[in-house]
Amino acid sequence: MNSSSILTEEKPPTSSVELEEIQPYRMPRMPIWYSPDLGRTAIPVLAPEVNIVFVTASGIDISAFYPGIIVLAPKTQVLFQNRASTETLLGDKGKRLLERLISLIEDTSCEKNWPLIRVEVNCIKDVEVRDWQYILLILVFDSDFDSADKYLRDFYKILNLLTDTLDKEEQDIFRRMLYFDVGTTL
Amino acid sequence: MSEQLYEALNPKTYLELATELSSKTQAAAKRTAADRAYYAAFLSSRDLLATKGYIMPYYDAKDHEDVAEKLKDRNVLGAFGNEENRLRRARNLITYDTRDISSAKQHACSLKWMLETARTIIERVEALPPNPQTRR
Repeated sequence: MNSSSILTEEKPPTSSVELEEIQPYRMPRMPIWYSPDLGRTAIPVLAPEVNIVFVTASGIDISAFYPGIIVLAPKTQVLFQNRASTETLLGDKGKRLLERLISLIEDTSCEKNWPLIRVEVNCIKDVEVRDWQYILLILVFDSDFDSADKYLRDFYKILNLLTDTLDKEEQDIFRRMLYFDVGTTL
Repeated sequence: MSEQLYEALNPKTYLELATELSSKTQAAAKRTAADRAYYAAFLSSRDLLATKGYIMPYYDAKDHEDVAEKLKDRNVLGAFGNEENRLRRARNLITYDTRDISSAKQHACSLKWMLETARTIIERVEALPPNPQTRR
């Protein structure tokens, strides 16, 4: 008798699951917005702990169509008009606060599905008031002014929650040096 | 005895003037309306904040910075106080740039937005209580 066939017959079954031929995975058809000037593209990432993670352009939420999918937005484009001046004005603590604010903008944009294109960080010298300098974050939206205005005013509520968590020095930096405005494309 | 040249002014009346000017067709009227809308918000805020014990005004251009900062204080208007600075930036554009300003210009704001924003800022500062930290 063939020894290998004996072993095969005596081996107890370890699983009731019958394996079928694995079907090739197909990317689901979906409209993914793509802006060539931003250099963004959709990248599917397979991870063991979640089903599928899609990295998409912000503004596209596909989670409603595909339960179990986690949507991550790519890093928002942040443009510094003059990074050195910005960092000098803010100092180390202010620089860290700016980073937190930009992260908050990115998170909010992803969560609220904002059509946010980029954040511009400008170092402003006021034209009329001597020695008044501050940092202006301009949130540029692919929307009309009224919508952009609404996004910013909604963001104020989130900013208020953030400022409640800041220490006194950070609150002072936020109050004196960091301002916000919107820009639009339409 | 010196002659009174300008009587005391309630800066909120600039908002009424701005609203009236906004209905006119001339470019000068509309731009002046935008300018006055900003000053209604800024000067009303400054005077009210001073009366309520939040700031000590200089009554000159230095007050722009103090008012902008104080309005953003979490015990004053919080993040909404940022709107005063937006109004100021809109006013600067409209006042200094005499060229054609279209909505395509990135930071251009409508006169309607400026009037509404100025009104909201004034209302919110009016609603503030006296500064509890001020010793009387």
